[in-house]
Amino acid sequence: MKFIVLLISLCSAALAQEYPRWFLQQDKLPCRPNAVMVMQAPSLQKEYAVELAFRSGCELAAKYTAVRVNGGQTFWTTEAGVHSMGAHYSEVFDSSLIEQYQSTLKIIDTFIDRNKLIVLVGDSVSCALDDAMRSFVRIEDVPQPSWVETLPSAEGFYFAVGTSEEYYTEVSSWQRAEQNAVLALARTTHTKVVSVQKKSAVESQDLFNEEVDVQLKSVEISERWRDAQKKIFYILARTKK
Amino acid sequence: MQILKSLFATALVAVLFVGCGGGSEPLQKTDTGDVPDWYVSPPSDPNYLYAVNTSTSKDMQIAVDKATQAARTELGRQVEVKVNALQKRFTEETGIGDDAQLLDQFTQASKTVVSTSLSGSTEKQKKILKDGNNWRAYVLVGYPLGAAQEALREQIKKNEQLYTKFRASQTYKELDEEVQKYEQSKKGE
Repeated sequence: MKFIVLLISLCSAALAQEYPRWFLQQDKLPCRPNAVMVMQAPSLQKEYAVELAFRSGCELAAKYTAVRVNGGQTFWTTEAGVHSMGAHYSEVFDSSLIEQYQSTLKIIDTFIDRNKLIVLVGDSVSCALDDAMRSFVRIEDVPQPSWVETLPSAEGFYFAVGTSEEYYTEVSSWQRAEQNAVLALARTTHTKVVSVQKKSAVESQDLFNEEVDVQLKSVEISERWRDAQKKIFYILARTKK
Repeated sequence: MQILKSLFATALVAVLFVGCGGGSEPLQKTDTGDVPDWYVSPPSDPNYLYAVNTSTSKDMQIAVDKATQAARTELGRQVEVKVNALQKRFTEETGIGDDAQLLDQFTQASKTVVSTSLSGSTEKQKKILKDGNNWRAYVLVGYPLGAAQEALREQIKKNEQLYTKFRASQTYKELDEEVQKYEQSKKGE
């Protein structure tokens, strides 16, 4: 019996998801700009994977400095339900900043487990982490943050939450949630909504379209949370108004 | 054999009674426990427009997008109602109903606001649930009324002839006051 209990507790400990605190609470980092890059765990050549993550992190930092989000999506509502008619979005940013960040930013910390490699990129002087920020947190022990359901507000900022269900791998799920957070920020900043309604005695149809074409400046990922039970990934992001 | 026949008849009558009488179990169980309160009773604020929506999809993000965009479209309609009311007041006060050109210019300004600008419409609340094999998203989207009024004022200002006519009216003064209050509240946020 004791063996079974021991086996169960060992299994649950092995399956428990841990993250460095700086990953979950990126807004508590003392430096700007910073970037957190999540990538697949390396099977071989760890150094090469970390270097690649650093380069991708610099690209992310460049994108979040100023990015133009352009695109839209359309839905068609009938008695049968709401149907997606397609979506297209593109992001354009100044790629010359990538090289600049590669020479000025450094790897502050790395985290590797069997699923993922996470690299924190930032300024090496101002981004010194204390022990609390370097500590590991079991995601199962973190209660649902209030921002998951209720959007926070702060002077001069727009906030948005990006979500993703389990999307192939843990890494792609986090990346998708982050992408959705940036799109949600763009829609909050400015959305053009056009709707055409058609109603008759026997049917009702509604075609609604949204178009986004905005420049986001100083995008910051504030917090991350994962609902381990429902398997949903949440990311809170903000941008300057 | 006789006993069997009467047993069969009794069983048949019993089955018919149960079938026709209806059970105490509801035909379809509806679990409303997870429906958020703000969806059932959306907040009301004279300075804000709110719209709620819910949608389902096998893809979670599409469920969220459908609900959010439908709510934003609803906000657009609410803005349209407000702008139309303002246009009616303006027409009555200034008598521009007789001036077809000016009326058309104002209508164009109103249409531009209604169909284009929702700057700062935020997902105030969001809840995602698993609904059978689908995801269900509930959203509450809010939009400051002052933002719509400000957009309308800026559109009118672009047309000098219309602006000159509009500026002298009581409706404009009220609109301007509302916009100034909104701008103050933005600074004080």
